[in-house]
Amino acid sequence: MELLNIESSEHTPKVILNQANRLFEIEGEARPENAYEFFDPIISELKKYMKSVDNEFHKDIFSELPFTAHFKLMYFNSSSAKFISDILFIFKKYFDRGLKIKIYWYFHEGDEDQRDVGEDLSEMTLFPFTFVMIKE
Amino acid sequence: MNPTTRVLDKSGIFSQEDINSILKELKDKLDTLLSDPTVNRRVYSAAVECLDNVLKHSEEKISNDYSNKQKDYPSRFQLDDTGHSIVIYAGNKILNKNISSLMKQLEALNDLKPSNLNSLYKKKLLTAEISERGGAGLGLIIIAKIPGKKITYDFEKINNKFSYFSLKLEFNYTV
Repeated sequence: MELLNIESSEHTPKVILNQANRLFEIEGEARPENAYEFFDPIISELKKYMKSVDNEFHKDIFSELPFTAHFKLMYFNSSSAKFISDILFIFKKYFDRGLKIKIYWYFHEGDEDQRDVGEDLSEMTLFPFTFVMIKE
Repeated sequence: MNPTTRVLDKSGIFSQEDINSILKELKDKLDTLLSDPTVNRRVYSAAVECLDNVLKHSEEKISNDYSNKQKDYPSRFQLDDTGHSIVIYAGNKILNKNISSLMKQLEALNDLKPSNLNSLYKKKLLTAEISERGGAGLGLIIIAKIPGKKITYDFEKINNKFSYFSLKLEFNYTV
């Protein structure tokens, strides 16, 4: 079941939160005119979902098939950066509570800044990311 | 020495739709001009923040006080190719009363080393709150952080209420 399925636009990313596949994905460019209006419903839904799986039953399920979060953001502006870090802190909170969660951060080959942004966020949230290079 | 070419020259009152179309055009131009993906991304990031700044902080739309003189000062976004670097020029009208705080911020950012700018960015990201105008207060830090060169800026007085704020950012072709 998809709890979130937001289509991408020229300035907003595609966002998926899939319960059955234990998957969160955000892909594209994030520079919405109003970052709060775009990200607030996503954050609310994510918090609701994470709260619903914060129990021993789901900890066992997640240990076999972890929840994966894929950040395929080719660009995000400064207002979006704040909300992206909020999303990462939600994952970190539940990771610390024992839910197996993996974060994948994508960057284009040769674009070191994009990787550095991910490294900074990983360092800030104290959450180890797996970095995935997209070859051109 | 290569002559400088004006690659983009936009002025007026920018809407979000105008900005989308400017950024689309910019993306195409940068893909032709720059082979280094890191520089391409840096110029694009700076352009997004500059245009966002113009959209959120320009007093053009907020003021009802349109004299002929003020119409001579539209918001602007220009991009030059110097043959070895890309230069962004951005400008918008601001209230005179906001100049000193903006100048203080710019001076403080220009005084910081790149590593300190990065630390400041991370610190601000943790504490950022979205303002009434939709900004997180991080845009100027990004503008200062990415070119790796100091921001050149200017305030030109229009009248007792308004001034024109101009920014210049330069990016070498390669990192």
